[in-house]
Amino acid sequence: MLSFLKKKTDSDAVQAPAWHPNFRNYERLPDIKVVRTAFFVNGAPAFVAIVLAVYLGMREYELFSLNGQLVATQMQIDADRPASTQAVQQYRKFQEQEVRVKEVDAFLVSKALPSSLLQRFADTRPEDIALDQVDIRENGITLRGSIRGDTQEAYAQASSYIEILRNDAVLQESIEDVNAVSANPNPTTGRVSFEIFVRFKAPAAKK
Amino acid sequence: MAITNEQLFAFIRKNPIGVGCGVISLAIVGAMYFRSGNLPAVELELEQLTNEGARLSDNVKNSALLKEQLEELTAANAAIDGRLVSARGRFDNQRYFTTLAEASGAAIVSQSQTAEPKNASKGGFVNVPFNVAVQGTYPQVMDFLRRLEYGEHFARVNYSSVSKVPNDTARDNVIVTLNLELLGRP
Repeated sequence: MLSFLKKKTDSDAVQAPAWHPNFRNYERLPDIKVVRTAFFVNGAPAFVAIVLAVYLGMREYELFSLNGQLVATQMQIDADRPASTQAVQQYRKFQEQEVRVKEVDAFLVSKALPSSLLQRFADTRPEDIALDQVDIRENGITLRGSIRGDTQEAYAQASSYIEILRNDAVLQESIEDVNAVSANPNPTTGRVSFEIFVRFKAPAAKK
Repeated sequence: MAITNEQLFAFIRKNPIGVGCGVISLAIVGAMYFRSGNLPAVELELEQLTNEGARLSDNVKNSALLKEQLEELTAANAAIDGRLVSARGRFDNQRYFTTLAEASGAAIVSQSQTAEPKNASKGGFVNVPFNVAVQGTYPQVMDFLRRLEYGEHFARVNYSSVSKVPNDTARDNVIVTLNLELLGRP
């Protein structure tokens, strides 16, 4: 009852026997799909070709741009080269001249000036101390002298003189240490003879 | 299931755009392959040229005052040359010490050019060695030393000894013995 109102299913259609032979030639029938197969067959290669062409174009443009930069850089180099060559030649001459000036400078500063040292020893010498001999050598200075007064007091003055030399601001720039070498009373003169060694600082190692 | 030529041509005739694009794609890939080495090579060349350009540009930039500095240095060296002693000019060199002593009021006790200078330095200088002994009052000897240190010729004192003159009746004379070098030309 009311079975004719029911929607027929596909299985029903298949099950229904064909009432005439199917003469359709599917290869010649038009493509009636919403997006036709031809679109994919032509579109996909076209898309790939366009992408590749764009990529190749970008690379070629980049190459073109780089070649342009190459030309510009080469032109700049050609423009700078004469001035640069001249500058290099001048600099070589400058170096040759500079070596001589540096050598003279090194020659002059390599040794302490005796007059400055002698002047400093004269300025720092206590009144009761007489310097009899000052030897200035490469590694240091030997001071020989005598001290007036009582022997005990003379020894104290010798120690005090060593401290004066050690703490002298001017001498500190060039000396490392001051040491007593000897101190002996001299019965003939009634004084105490002494010897002090002032060691120079070691020259800075060349880098 | 092999494809016959007829089927292939039929496919081409049916899909000319697709086949054409495929061929173009292959051609592009081929071109990319053959030109793939160009870009790195050009980049490398550009980098090298840029470095070279920067070096030359720096040379030009840094040499802005080089000419003036070179002129100053050349003038300084000319002045230095004028202050050098000649290693062979023994008499002239001895006269120099005598002149200093006369100017300071001290007296030359002895002087000698001790040895032949060694080979010239890189700058073309030789150190000409001397032994000089000078006697005078302390101020005179100090004046002699200062004239020597800051005098016409470049001097370097390697050893100096200042001591009282033995048996000096005036008791104010000192003698200074110097081992020194004057900067000279061979």
